[in-house]
Amino acid sequence: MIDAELHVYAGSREEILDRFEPSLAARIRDTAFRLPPASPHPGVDVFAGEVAAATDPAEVAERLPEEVEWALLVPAQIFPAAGWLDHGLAAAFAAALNDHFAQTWLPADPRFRLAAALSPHDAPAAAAELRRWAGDPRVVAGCFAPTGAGLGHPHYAPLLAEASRLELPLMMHPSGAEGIALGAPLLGGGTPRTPQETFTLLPQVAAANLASAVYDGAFETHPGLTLVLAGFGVEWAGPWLWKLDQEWRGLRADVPWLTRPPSETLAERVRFVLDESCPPLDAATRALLELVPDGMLLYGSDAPFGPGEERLAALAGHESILAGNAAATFAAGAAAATGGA
Amino acid sequence: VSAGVQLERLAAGRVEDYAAGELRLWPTRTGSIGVVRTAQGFYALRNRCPHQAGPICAGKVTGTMLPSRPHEYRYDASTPVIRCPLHRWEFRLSDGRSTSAITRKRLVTYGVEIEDGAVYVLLRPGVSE
Repeated sequence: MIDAELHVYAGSREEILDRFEPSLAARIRDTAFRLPPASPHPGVDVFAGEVAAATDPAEVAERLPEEVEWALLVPAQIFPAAGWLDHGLAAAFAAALNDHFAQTWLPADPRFRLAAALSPHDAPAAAAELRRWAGDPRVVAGCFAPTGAGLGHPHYAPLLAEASRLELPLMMHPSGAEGIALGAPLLGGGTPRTPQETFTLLPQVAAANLASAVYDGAFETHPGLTLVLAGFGVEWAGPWLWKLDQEWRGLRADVPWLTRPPSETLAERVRFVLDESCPPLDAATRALLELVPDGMLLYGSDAPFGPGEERLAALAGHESILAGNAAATFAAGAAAATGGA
Repeated sequence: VSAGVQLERLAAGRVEDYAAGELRLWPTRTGSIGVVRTAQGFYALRNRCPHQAGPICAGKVTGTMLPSRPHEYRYDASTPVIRCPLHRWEFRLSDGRSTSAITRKRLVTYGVEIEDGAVYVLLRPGVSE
């Protein structure tokens, strides 16, 4: 089994303060800077007790089920930085988190891999940060939260180009700032007033960003690009893939760079993490998932918010979802980590 | 159509009646056939889109966009297509195939013959049109 989404956290700002450039560290120390909460979603702090454990690599390693070959550590505290106004601090925070996890977590267990934290505000800086880790075989992806620009917007081009060149997948995960912070993605219909509205509407953000990437030709411009969507659910994706194809057929002349149905491209280049943002895998959900190509699905525990035991039980026997798809998706880094080709 | 097979001809007016790009409809027993004059010559097609059976001859005859790099456009005026007014699916007039393989379904097309300035659509014998 491969766990494609295991959230991990720095335990305190003091723990990472030395990772910042001294003047910036002083600024952080002298201000009200606080580490983002464990859950990036507004109004959700009920997991505090559980999350505390996700700040200790030894404890997280001990909790990993025996059958887990490796787990992708996702530094979740970077995601709320998508709602920060200080973009320089966001980029420095991403780098500090990466140094912290690479130096204190990755050596703690050979099953740990890292998705490098990236700030979405400054794509050239994010590209440079991804490049900084490209030589480390334990770093097998980058991760960031969406902004108000769709993934196909030129804003993201430097990051997508670098990820494509390095063949490192990019994971997109909600920030919790969706619909409520300047620079974060809007949610359709207006600004939510409750966390429940935000949760409910998050698939909009994933759908909008993927549509942006598809029709803007991001997958054609960046042939090595793979996108991994975590925290957005997947039950909505099947009908939506059909819709992408339908609009392509009718408006093909407007996007002549797309020479085949978008669903075919996405089947190869996009992955959805089956995590706790997805509904229970009952008969109805399974019917919806039948509409999504099998190869697009990755298992993610979503720890510390999961794993749901029922979800794991429902996936028993689905080797491709539990391991094979993730192994192929993160092939470049994983192969390097095991000394493979 | 095999050589030697006699084709029924549908009289479709005279060459000088057709403005460039103008598509004229000619009734048949079961529907209609559109005939259009382009820079590449005359084309004839069944007035029925293979997608949802829409009246495709009400669509526009135009050139098409060739595959390109993102946000670059390469217009090909030498390959006339017709764009269905219902869902904008495009089909080449020359062979009825869709552009960029958006579907395997093909538009029904016919040969056109010009004789002494008169335009004839070549129908397959035994096919009810």
